[in-house]
Amino acid sequence: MAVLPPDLGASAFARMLEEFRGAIGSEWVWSSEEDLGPYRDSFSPVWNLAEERRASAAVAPENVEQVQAIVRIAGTYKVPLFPISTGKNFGYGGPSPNVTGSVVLDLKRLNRVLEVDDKRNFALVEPGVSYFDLYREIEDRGLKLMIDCPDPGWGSPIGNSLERGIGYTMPHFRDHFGASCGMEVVLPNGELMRTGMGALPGSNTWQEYKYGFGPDPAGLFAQGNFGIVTKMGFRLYPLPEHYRTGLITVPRRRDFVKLVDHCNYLSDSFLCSEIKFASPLAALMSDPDFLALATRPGGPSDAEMDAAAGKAGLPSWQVDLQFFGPEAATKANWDYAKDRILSDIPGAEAFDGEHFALPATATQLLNTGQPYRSNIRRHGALGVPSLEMWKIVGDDGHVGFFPVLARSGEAVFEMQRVMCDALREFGMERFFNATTAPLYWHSFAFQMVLAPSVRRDDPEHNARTHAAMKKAVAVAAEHGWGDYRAAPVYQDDVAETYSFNNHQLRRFHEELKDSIDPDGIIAPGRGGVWPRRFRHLRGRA
Amino acid sequence: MRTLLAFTGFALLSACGDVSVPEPEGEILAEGLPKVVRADHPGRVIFERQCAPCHGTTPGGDGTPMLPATMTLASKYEGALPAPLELRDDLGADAIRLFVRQGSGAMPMFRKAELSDADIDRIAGYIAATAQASRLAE
Repeated sequence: MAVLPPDLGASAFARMLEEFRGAIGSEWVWSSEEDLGPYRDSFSPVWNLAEERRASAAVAPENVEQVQAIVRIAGTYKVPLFPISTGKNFGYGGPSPNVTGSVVLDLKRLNRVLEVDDKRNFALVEPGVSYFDLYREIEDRGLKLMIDCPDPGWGSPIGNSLERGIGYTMPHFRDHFGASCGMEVVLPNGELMRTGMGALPGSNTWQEYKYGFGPDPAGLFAQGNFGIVTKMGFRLYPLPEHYRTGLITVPRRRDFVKLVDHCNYLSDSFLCSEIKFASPLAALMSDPDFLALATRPGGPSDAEMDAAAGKAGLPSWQVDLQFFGPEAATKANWDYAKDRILSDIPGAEAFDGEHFALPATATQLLNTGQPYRSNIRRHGALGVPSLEMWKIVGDDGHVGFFPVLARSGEAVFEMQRVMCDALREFGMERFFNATTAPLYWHSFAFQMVLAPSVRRDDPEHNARTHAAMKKAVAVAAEHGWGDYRAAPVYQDDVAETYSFNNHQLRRFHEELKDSIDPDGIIAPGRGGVWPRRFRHLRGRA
Repeated sequence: MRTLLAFTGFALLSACGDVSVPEPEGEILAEGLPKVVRADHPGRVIFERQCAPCHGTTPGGDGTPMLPATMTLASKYEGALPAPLELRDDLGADAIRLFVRQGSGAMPMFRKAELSDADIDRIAGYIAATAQASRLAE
């Protein structure tokens, strides 16, 4: 036994485990330190410290009825459960709970793809289904559908969307929670609820009309702790006939403002897939003089950056554009994008990239045929799961802070300056410098990224990472920028920044929590939402 | 169609019309890796689903020469041991279990709910059989 649940003695804990074994089978209940090792957050910045969150046990039910049984047993003993799907939420806590002593409810064995429809273009899955699984199901059945998956692809469509994760295709698919439609939830009292049309017996439109009638509580289950999602529907992209890429460069730093405006128009008009901004000047960061300029306190002037670009013979910014649809439509949209941008930004240049019919061949997926250096990751761009992204993991992992900012060039320049200065004391100014481009992951907002590494055998390094993360959250909030997703060790910090009208949003959530889950059985503290019983743990779980 | 320029340190841009790449037959191997003769073993599917996405022998995509874990091991062993797990004849089930359950560097731990001890035994059997078949084929 590693740790005990809150407010529970060893003998009662043993009785509860015995009840779990009776409900789901002894081979699916774990409580030894050895078996619980993989339920630690391998990317934890507080590894082996008191602040690290550790589970007391883990259980892996096979079906919804067993989930209900586990919830009812946990309710009897007033023991918090922490549900995970495939357990791959690395950088955001992995499979580890918010509260030490929680029992991890491992839903990996609920791994059925329940329905895929390539006429009405949706899937209904269980939480243990990974993006690899869903992709394989579609491939094996020869269905003409494209999924939208994050990179890496071992995560769960349900888990990822409940974390408001993203992918890399068209705007209406890459916001994974936005593309969800209908869910089934085990509530804290063990009852089963379906949202939207799923609440209407006999309906066959659960995955087509998400609202049903009356208030839609689906949003409460994303980054929340109001229930355990056991089924969820997702809209899927009918496999487009063709894929086309192109690159546009602009010469001056200030051209980015217009470039962003044009790209917003293209994206919001659903003319293109994920847009990838970058600065070719990032290639100069190994030059100490340029590094000093790009990370200078207060930021460099436009003229200085333009002079550096001119000296290097580089454009200041570039954007990778991607188009899906019938071949003629992809060409027309690319031609339109070129005309629109080149006619408005002097010196802008456009370069045709690869284009081919879908599905892509194995060679096309390798993405080695572009006639220019592209920032597109081809597997993700085409909804093909992979683990190629793991190449970016340095040391033993990292944590992530992704502040949301407005989709404007000026907002990008401001965040570059502010966050570069804020992180200088940690030696992390490179994450935000004058060449840092925004991410167009979420369909209608920009994000930028701080992802400092962790090392399991270097507490001093981790302490620096931890301090930088906390400062980044605070400084960003002073400028109206908030994180979109966080590991349990940072969720209270982030929730604290969403404080309008004396934290009315959080107080609303916690009033609901106290009503629906008075004993705090489901993931207390998740999303910064604490039930009354555990509220004293806010900020110090 | 315009002629494209080469930007120093930025992008190699060539004159282009329709940019197309022929599809070769068979598996595409990462450059420099020896051929793997895969054994017909019950652990093969488990390996391919659970291990190969990171430890496989295909290129890494987007210009990366190898998949992440294969590249890490190639760098770590510098030729003293094969980078692809499927060519390792020194890995028994217990050694594999240790790495799977405890992780290593950027490789996280794997839970019994997703990869059972019996699965690990089958993976070990597959790796041993494949390493042997590959060695015999040399």
